[in-house]
Amino acid sequence: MKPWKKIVLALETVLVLSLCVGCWNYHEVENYTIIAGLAIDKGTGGHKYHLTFECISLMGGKDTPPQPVLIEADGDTIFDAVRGTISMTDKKLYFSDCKVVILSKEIAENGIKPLMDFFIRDSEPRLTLNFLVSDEPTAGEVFRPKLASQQPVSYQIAGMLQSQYALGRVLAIPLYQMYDILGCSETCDESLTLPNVRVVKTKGSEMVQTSNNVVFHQDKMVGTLPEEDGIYYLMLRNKLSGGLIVTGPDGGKDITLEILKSSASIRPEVSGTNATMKIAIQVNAALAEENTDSLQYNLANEKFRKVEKMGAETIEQNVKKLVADDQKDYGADIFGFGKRIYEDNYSDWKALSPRWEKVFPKVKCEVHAEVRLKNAARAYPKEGT
Amino acid sequence: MENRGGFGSAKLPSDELKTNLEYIRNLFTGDETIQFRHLTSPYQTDWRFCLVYADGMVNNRIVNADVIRPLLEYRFPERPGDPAEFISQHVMFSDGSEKTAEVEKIVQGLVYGDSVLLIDGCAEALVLNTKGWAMRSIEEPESERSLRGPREGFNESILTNLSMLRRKLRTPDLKFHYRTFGRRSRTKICVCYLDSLINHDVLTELEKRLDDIDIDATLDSNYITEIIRDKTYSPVKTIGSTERPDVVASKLLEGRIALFVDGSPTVLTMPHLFIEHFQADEDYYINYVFASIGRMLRILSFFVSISMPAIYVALVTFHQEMLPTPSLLSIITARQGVPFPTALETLFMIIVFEMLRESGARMPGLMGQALSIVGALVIGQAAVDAKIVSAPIIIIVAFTGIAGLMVPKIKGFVIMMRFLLLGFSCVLGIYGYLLGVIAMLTALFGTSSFGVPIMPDVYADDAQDYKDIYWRTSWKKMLRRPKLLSWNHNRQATKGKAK
Repeated sequence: MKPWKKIVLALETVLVLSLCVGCWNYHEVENYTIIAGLAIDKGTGGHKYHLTFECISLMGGKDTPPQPVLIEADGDTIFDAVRGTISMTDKKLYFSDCKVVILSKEIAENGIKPLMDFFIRDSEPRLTLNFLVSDEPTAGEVFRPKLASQQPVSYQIAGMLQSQYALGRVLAIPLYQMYDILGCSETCDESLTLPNVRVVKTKGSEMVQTSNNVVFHQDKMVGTLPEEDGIYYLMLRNKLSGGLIVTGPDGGKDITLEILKSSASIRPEVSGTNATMKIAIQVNAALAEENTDSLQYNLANEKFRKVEKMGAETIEQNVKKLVADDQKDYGADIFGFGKRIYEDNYSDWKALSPRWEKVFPKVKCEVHAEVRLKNAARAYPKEGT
Repeated sequence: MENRGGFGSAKLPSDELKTNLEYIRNLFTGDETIQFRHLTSPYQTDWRFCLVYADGMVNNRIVNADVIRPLLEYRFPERPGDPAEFISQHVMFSDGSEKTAEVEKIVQGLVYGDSVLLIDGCAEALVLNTKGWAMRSIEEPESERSLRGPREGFNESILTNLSMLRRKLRTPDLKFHYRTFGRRSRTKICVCYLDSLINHDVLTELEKRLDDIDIDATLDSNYITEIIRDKTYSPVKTIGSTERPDVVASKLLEGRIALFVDGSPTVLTMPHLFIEHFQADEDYYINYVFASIGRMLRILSFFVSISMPAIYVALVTFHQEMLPTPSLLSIITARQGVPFPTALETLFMIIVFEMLRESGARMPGLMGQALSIVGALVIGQAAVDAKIVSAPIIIIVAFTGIAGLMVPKIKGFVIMMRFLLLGFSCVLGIYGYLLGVIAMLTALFGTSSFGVPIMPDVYADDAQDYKDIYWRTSWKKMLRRPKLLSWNHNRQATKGKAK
């Protein structure tokens, strides 16, 4: 064959192969409507779901920031409602930049497993999506406030969840972990918590806030943890990397410790139908503020030890209270105790698991906390020097 | 092959001056630059000569003082048996004087600035070296400037060029072999190498390929490059070229062979490795840390320059989920109202950039300002404002262009790959881009230059082999020559454990 014929043939082959290949997925970005967040409510007019999409309108000029626009649609399944929006906008909805899904209380109480399927099965939504439960009567209302920053509410919420490392109040569980917990719930009976979200009205402006952990029994919402318990919940789940503990002598609240590092280990001990959880918590903290007029803990080492002890006591009390309250009010294993037994000793778990629902509320907790002050901004020689 | 299209072994027709003169006049009919100067010795009038030379090719002062003057002033004796030999030995002041009867040699001498002395009563002529034509002085080459290091560059005269090289490598090991090419241009070329360092397989291969050349004329070294290169249709350079004597010297010292072509300031070096595109001569004259950073930047620019438009199109039209949300939003905002698809837009702007670059390279210097105004204002600013293209494209194309200018030695290949990868990306997204890159690397690894693979890193087996690739090591540590190029690996024989 002549060389030029070979080249022409090769070019033809490349052309045919590439033009007929199955992965042609060329589409222009401007033909999509970017979804920032999605709210799921109970449907109206006989439909199962009512969805509110927070979309980003980019028709503005160069200097105006993207404006959030709300689109609402009903459907019998999530995807049905999503496709229903095409009758309202000329563009397809695009989910890859969707950061949060807000659920109404009603939806959350009915169980969230059926909702999750669409987000896991479809290729566009990311598995790092965060689900939140709305404190407002409907989930869609969360998107209504016009924020001072002019950015979409969803992105504000996503940002707040990301900054939790400095606050340590709510535990953001992304979709893939939700799937793990709920998938595991059949074997380990672990329960889920999700952050809540509400609209806060102050003078002249509206904001959104997330402050509590909403407790699920398996996948159905059963209640809400108090705001101040959030940090201890995160501590128990080993997800704490910041936050403050306020403590003081005799239950007072005038010393603030800033948590630098926290680690918790849970060791289950099972005897018959009784289980005891030995919880050891180790916290490295800095003495951040001493809100007294005497500056008494600033100097001497022995007083420093005292502060450490006070901190440890505060932690122990609160953790105990948190576990006891949950056992009493909800009976939901949100701490993963069952999973720890499952991991630690499978035969124990096999014996316990059929009755875990009943055993969990009676699980005893021994909490031992240790606080180490690393950093106190004091000009005093280190111990031993 | 020397005589192809020439005069074979034709000889001067007779020993009579008149006949010979008539013969040469006939050869050069219609060429009025050939001058005939008749001379007769004032002391012995039977000594008659005719000096033939090409006007403009000879140095007239040499002709006057070293040829004509001794002929007229010399007191000739009775005629000896071989007058040509006698004159060559006793009369001529000229340094080069060759006695010949071959028409071929006479004609070649004439057209190359020699003077031919025809003697009455002698069947042979003297070809005297009187070369002296006007030529460009030695300047710094425009295309290979450097802040440090020697500033001289080759010019169009092969002898000057060879002398520049000779001055850098003062060793009898340096060999020069002349050849002549071009049935009409009769261009002289010179193969040059350090005998104890080269890979003799490469030399044999080069000589074989040179023997096969049959061409009309070689006006520049590229004529020869294209004929003797390994793969005729490949866009990758397998023969290096430079205008700097120091570069040629350093290449010879690594065991390469240089090929000088008369009339061209560009000297060819071979074999040529792919990494040489990124090695600047200045790398070796400045601190090795800065040189290495510069070199790695050049390699990075190469990848940026071929990939940037392709990756942009792939991300924006296939894999939007890979873009961070803020950049996705700003790209969408920028694309509002732009009528063309991203792929077309990118292709269009790359072509516009190539036009600007090409026009910048070809146009007279005075028009530069107009070009930059048109380029920056009209095509950049106005096109975006008029919503003909989107702003990110301008950034991508500008970045691509700048990165491309970092590696001028590999310009053609970069431009070709840029379009190829863009095409793949437009059709298959990131998969297409990767496919293109795989194809490119496969082709590169499969290419060799005179039997030496142009990507020899695969054969590297210790750190020494990497010492002048991505990182230019200190001269103190560069113990060996690049593998495969040379049969003599030790650069610093007394140092270290290098074998």
